[in-house]
Amino acid sequence: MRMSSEKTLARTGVYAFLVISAAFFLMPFYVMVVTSLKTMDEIRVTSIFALPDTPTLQAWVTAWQSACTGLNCNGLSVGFFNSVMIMVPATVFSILLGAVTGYALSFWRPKGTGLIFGILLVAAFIPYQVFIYPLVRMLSQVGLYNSLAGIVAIHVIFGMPIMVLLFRNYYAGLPRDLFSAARVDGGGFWVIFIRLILPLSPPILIVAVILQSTHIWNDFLFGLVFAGSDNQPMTVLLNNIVNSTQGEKAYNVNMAATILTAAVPLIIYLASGRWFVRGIAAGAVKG
Amino acid sequence: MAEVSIENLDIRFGAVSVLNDLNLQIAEGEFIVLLGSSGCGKSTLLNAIAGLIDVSGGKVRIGGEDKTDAEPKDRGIGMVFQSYALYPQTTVEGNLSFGLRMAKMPKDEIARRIDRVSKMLQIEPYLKRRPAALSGGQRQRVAIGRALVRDADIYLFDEPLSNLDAKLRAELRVELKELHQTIGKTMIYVTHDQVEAMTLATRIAVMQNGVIQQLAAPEDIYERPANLFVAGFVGSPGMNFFSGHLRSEAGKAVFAINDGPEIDVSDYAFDAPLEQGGEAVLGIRPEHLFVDAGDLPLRLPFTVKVSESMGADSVLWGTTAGQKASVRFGSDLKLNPPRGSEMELGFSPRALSLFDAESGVRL
Repeated sequence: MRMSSEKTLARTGVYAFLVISAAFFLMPFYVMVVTSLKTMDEIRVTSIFALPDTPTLQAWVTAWQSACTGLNCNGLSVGFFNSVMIMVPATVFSILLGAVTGYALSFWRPKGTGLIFGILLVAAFIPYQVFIYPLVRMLSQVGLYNSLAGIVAIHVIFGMPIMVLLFRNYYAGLPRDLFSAARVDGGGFWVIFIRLILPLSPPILIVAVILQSTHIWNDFLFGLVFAGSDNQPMTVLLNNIVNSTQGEKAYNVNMAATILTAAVPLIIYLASGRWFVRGIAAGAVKG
Repeated sequence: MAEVSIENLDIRFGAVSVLNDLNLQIAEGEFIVLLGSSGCGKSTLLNAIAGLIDVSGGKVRIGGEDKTDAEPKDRGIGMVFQSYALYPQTTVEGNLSFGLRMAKMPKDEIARRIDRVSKMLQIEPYLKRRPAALSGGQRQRVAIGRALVRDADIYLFDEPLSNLDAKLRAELRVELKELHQTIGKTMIYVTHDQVEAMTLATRIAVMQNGVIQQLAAPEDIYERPANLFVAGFVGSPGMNFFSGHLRSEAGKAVFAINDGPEIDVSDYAFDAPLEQGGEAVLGIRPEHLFVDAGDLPLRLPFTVKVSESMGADSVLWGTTAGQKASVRFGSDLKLNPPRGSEMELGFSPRALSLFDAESGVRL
């Protein structure tokens, strides 16, 4: 009895801590949601924690359709579609490139495998801001600066270290005999990759999709620098809306716009929590 | 045309030399077992024959043709791996046909081959199952089947039975031997299990540190080991070794065990006539020492320490002139001497082996 009452006490303590932590981290989100549902008049007079008197979605509509970013007043929707246009090809290509490279480094081990892997590892730790100026020059030389292809290429290139690392480590965990058996059976580089290795890859593919899509969606700097005014991603438009300096700050619109922008990664995280954690662990376990 | 010839093979991984100037000739239809403990280079040699690792020097000829740099699929080989290495996402049938489909073989020919092999290996009931739904023994049968459908000239086995339990291992061992007798193809088999080596092989290559220590028929390996390593590696319990001094005396060869008796080894079949003596090691297998000496010409004293019964056989562990020794005999002798008892063991000069103490080479 004594043991179990002590256990109950410990349990209670743990849960109390978890609830308080969750409340602490949910508080800003709560404030954002309630504020986005209020009118500006109400925001001025009530506490930020108060529930809206007459909830309205007007701020959400404005944020999506007609909030002003500089001179354009088309809301965030343009940025949403731009972000999708950037995210989808960049995610697909960076994953494919990472998977093929990881497969080659893991199984075919060409001469210099260690060196290539080392360079990728080191590159993953260099702050990417360092590369921006040379990259701007390089992209403009080949005519990709300020274009959709350019921003996609940038995301693919900068996704390489983490993608290769992820896939190489996953493939290092597959039995090498499997690869040897396929070679004896007559498979070449692509046949083995497509018919044997890819069908074994869904767990790590899911992780890669989560990592890359949220990372690319959340990017601000590359989008600002490389995408050009026609392809500005949602994050850049959000910044322009929130940081516009003229007139009064429309807190409700800002909050709605921020939630809208964060919605995509948020949904990806929530829908894939288990896989996401697995992916983080996958990168860490095997070297 | 399926003889294999390894000529001056060198394999290095960076600065580490695994195989150095290795030569091995394998005739068509032979069952060669590469035997050795882990790290001796036996799997490396097998992988080199399969074309799965790069060769640093020398040649691999298969069927008379130089295949040193050929792709694995172009060598006319089928291979079975220790971990089965079945393709997990496809059925047994898919596993068997994988290589044939890649070679763009006609469908009816694939079906014919799968049918023949699955009957031979009794895996017909599982053709539609996935590997995950099979037991270890069934999986290894499928893996053997996948090698067989290739209709190769040479089959390579990399410790195929090591992952199975003892009973299944014994069963599959017999099946493999039967398979070899049925299809008569060249087989090269890597193992660290001396029982597999002794039972399956037409010739055994005992390897250590990347060097073939002895290449001979199982009986020769067992009865006339070429050196101390082979003598100690093959046999369980291991061969008894007694250090001593060998000398030639009035036309007789005499071996004096250190601090022990002198033994007349004149009737031992020396590889070369004994010219001068020296430090030597006398080896005798535990089952060649007899508790009931009878009229055997040679004798050794023995002090009992521990007695072990293993069902059909029993083993006595003890010492002879202070050196460790063991004796094996049939359990039907009903012998269970107490610790410390002294006995006299008999043996025949034909059963013993003599080695040079320094080089370890058989005398």
